[in-house]
Amino acid sequence: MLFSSTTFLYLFLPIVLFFNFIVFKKSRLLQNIFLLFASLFFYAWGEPKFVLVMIASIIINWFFGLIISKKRDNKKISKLIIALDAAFNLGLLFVFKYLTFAGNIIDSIFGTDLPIPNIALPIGISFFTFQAMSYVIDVYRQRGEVQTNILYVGLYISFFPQLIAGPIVRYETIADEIKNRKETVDDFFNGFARFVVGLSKKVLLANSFAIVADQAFDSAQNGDSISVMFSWLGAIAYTLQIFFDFSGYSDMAIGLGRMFGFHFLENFDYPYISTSITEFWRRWHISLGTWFRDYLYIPLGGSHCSKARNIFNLFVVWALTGIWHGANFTFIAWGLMYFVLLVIEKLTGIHKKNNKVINVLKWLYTILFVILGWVLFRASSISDAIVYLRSMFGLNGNVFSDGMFTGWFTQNLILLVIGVVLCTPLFRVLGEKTKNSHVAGYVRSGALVCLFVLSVASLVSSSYNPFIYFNF
Amino acid sequence: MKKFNKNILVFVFCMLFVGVGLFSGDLFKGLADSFQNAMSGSSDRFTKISKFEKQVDKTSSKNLLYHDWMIDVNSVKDNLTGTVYVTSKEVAKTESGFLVSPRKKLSDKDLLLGTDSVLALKNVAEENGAKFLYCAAPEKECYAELPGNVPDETRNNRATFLNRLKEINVPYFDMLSYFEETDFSIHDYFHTDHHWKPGSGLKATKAICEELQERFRYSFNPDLLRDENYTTQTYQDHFLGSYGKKVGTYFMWSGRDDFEIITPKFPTDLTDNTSQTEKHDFESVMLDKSKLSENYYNVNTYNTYKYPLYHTRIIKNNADNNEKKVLIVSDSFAQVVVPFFALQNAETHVCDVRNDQGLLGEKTNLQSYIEETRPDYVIVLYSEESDIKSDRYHFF
Repeated sequence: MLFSSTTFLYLFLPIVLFFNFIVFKKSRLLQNIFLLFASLFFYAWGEPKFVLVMIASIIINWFFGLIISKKRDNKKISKLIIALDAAFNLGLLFVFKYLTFAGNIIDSIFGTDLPIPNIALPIGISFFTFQAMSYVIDVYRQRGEVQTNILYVGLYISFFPQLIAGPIVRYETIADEIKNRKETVDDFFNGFARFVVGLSKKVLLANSFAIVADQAFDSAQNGDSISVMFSWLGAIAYTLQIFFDFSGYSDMAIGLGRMFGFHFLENFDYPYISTSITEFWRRWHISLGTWFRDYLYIPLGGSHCSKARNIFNLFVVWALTGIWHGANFTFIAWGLMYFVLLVIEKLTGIHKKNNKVINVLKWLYTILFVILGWVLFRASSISDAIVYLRSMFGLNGNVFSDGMFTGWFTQNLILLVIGVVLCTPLFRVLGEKTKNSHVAGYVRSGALVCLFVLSVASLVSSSYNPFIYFNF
Repeated sequence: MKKFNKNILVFVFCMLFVGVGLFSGDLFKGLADSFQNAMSGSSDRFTKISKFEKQVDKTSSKNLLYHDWMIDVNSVKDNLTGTVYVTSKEVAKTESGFLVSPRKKLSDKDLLLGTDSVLALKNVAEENGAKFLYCAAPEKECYAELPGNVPDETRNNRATFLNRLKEINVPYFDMLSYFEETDFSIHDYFHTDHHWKPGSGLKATKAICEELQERFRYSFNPDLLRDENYTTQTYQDHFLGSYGKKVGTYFMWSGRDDFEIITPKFPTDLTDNTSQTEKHDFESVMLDKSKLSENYYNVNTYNTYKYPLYHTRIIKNNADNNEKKVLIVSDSFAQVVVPFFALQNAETHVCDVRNDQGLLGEKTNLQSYIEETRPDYVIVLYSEESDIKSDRYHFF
């Protein structure tokens, strides 16, 4: 089920709110059980068979959590449990997401013809497997109480707001809130407002930018010559699409979580204003970056080791970050691109330099590589990415500009301007400056209601609604 | 004192909006029907569940009280933000304020499929003593000026198709070229629909009659095609066409189209084998005024000019003396041609071979039909040379 669907807005959400806040109001246990089953239902909607994978994950991780809480003092056994847990979760991920890819690589290297089954990808598997590993590791690290009640572990892993596309909620973040959360009136209504913001970003902005991006990338993939300007427009459209799609989804997840009394951490912090790649990765998909930092980079030694080892650690993290995003060499190349840039920044210290002129240049360098990185990310193969990148610099003998660019640009100018402005913290600053103004408050409320209605109008009218991160 | 949290207003208004949509429409009935439909049949449990989910997703949008208003609201948003081409619906607006649907290039395979089918039909017609003519009605897209980011192959596909017909010696009437000598333009089409207007249908009828006369000495009465001999009643803002239904009423500020009912001033005596009426006048036989409805998204007002619900419709003109029998194989462009063309013939057999419109009756095999009925003329009146993949070229 998608948040941006009439099924969710008109059926699922009102029913869940009714049962959670009215029917089961007096019992936290019943609320949690209800939310668990609602979450499993949410996942099963559209993926009825894969809910069994989710249930298996809950059972195994609950079991490992119990064992590790009892054997915490025995380092050998603890490490074994964590290894087994990681093997199970990553094994699950490998089978459903990477088996075909790995098989194809083996076939091409060794000239074999392995009988690889065509396995469909359960939505959100990359998110919930990482979340499940987080549970066991945080229990081991005593950053959260072990849940003896399997239903509570199930709720943590499968809770519908962040189930399908994150943020990756660390167990330590909400461990206490599973049993002891306090739903407040402010949290409820502010959470809903946040949900509306996210819904609008996804439906009104991301979906519109997707059209332009798809036109450009599909044309290039089909072998059509696209002009320099149109290829840049397509790349920028995709840059905006992926931001509003993903941050919009995170807003919806965080907003919904808050309505139910859960406080997830922020996942995006205006990443496109970053003046270095280092800064970009502190602002983009924060939950993934911190997960890799805390569960992989630091245990490997982080930066508290020799330079060579540090570079190796970065290489592992960024190669895996790339692979996590998808079973394709484009994602690996994308991850390794960031590895190279981060190492350069680390070695030169350029990201620490700070004055007005240098910051502008740093921003330009950062946004340029981010956009080029998204081209790699979006392309369906390395060769398609190269063709597209060459188009961006006129290296395919393509014209500078054409009717495709002029048409798509002029027809999307208003949305492009809105999109670019919303990538900056302008509205947050305005919000801070007018927080004591009643008029501004009512205007904001009115605007949110209008955005909700427009989003519903768009959903009713349209059937073009891809969530990019559903591949993960 | 604690500050009033204005997000409460956001929640209240949004939930009211959701509640109105939920409880005032027939959403729950729709859901019950969805469940019943999904659980019927012999498929396995997972298939039934998937089917139910898809139907719920559809119902939860389609059955909202304000479903149509939401499409209108969305069209306003699209208009204000400068959208010209809705790719998901394959509808674009021209610079002169018309909605069109750009076409992809016709493949060689489809080209051969279509033209060979027409050749086969021509051979059957001529073997059975009928004169044959393929009439290529001009699509609206032929007149469209589209921005550079909306590629359209309509004209090219049409030219390719007709060139091939020429190569294989199939007689055709290129109505686009014919109309270039006149003031026929995109304004002869509805703004929001792909069809030409009823008045254009009258012009097209005259063109076809003249062409048949020139080629085959077909006799017709030009007085029956003069504008002065018809009454036109205009229903203002009454028709939201096929393209308009997809993108919404206000995707262009002009909104809906006016709709004309054209009826002859002279007396007529017609019968129709598919008609339930015992009346023989033009209006009773040719028109269905129940389609002049204000339910713009759910009714096709164009079908006021009767849509051939049956694969074959036989209209007898009891006032005609010269016993001409014409078989016209058509798509919906003929809906506003047949009413005027039928007045020129003793019998007009109208056949729509497409299966994709939920037509009633058995699909007609034109070979058997021609052998049985022995028409004097077999005319194909088609508007889309790009749409080979539908059944329209499956004549046998």
